[in-house]
Amino acid sequence: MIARIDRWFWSPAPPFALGVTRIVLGVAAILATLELAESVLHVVDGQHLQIPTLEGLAWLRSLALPAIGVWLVAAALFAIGMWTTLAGAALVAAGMLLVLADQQLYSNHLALLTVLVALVTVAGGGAAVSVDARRREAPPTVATGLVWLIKVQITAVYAFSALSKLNPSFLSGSVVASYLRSDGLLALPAPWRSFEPMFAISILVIVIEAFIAVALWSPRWRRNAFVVGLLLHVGIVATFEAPALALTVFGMASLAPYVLFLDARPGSVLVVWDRSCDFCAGWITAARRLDWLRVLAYAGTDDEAVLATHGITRQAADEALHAVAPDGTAAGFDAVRRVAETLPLTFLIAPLLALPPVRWVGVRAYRRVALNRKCSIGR
Amino acid sequence: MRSPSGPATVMGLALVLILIIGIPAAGLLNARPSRFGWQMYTVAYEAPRAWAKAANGSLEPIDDFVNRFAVLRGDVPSAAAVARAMCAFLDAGAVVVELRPDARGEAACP
Repeated sequence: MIARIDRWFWSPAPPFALGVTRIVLGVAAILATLELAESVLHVVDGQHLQIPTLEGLAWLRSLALPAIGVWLVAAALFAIGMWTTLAGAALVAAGMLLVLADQQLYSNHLALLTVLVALVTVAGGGAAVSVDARRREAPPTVATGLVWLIKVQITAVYAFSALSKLNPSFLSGSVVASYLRSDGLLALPAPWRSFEPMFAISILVIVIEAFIAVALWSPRWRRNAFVVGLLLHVGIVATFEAPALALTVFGMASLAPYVLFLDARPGSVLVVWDRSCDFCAGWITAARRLDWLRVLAYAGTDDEAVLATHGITRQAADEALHAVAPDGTAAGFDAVRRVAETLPLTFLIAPLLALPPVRWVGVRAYRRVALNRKCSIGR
Repeated sequence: MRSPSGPATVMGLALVLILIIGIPAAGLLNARPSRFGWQMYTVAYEAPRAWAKAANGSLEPIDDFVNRFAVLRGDVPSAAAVARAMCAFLDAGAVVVELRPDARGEAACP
């Protein structure tokens, strides 16, 4: 049993998704600097309360301001993946110092960023999509078990957030009502802040968080979880009274590990496209550039062996792009969506393309483009 | 990647899982919100209150108490530590702080 766990834990996994997670966390950490600096300046200005986390560690407060500088530099290096291990260690050290320096400097987004950066650093976050990788200083793979721990961590955040909301105060709707914006375009009208709608929203929030925690692990429901998670965090930023920057940082830190849940084995989605089509060539070039996870492989419609292997007729291949994935073959607009579901920049919103009104428009638009595309040879 | 031996891997994995799951699980047993418990927006906060306590035991509300916070958070764990910190701004025998109905603390000022 121990040997089996050991083998699984250290078995190699593709490093690309972890690299994307690292970039998002690094950018989130850069954004967090603004808020952290403001908080630290208040803590050290002598006009505000100074509340040491531990009495014996009050001296850490004098290091809080330099720690902000270290945090910013380390966050930038971490984002680009330069000296990633050192940058990650510096970020974690600065985050821990801030939390220990004063009780007022704790925040859930600082804690989450620090924990995730620690896990990504240990997992070898600089192994891909990084300056380190270009210098070949990093190993080409990462350990499956270490990546799994990052997924467990983000699942725990959603699961315990849902569980902790199962209390009379939250279920009464008063908590949600107190946090919703009271003015501006997205303010909820006062009459709607009554028990029934607030209770319904409270239940919905708990269900959504619990759903994300479970569905991220389900191949069938994962894509829905991506969209629901994105909408949840965007919705919180848009509708809550709390500072948008802090909520944005928390949202980015929460969404950063989602890409690890993608089934992103390199070359696992085969794109069959018309090589004679100029429009298609431009589209494929864009897909290649955005395919940071290296999931996509390519074949031309003139490759009879590939068509035969995947049961695609030559006529069908000429009429539409095909995406051959482990979960089936998609054609036309659905193939475009299938490709978008593998790209780090689009995978969170790509499932929306399957919704009836969007898909209906997309399928027709695709047909129109396909019929009018220019081909350099043939046809 | 160089890997530790099997037992070390399993022990390390168990330790990290205990940290990831055990700390927030323990937080569910404490008053909310609990730090490191991922208990965002679980309760509504009311403005914390503080009183200066005179030698005769009388309490005088401290009006600008909320403005003294560098960052006003609902999950500051120690009311007594806040009361001690508030002493620096007052000429009082003691300070009483109520962060939440279930978090009240007092500190004698030096």
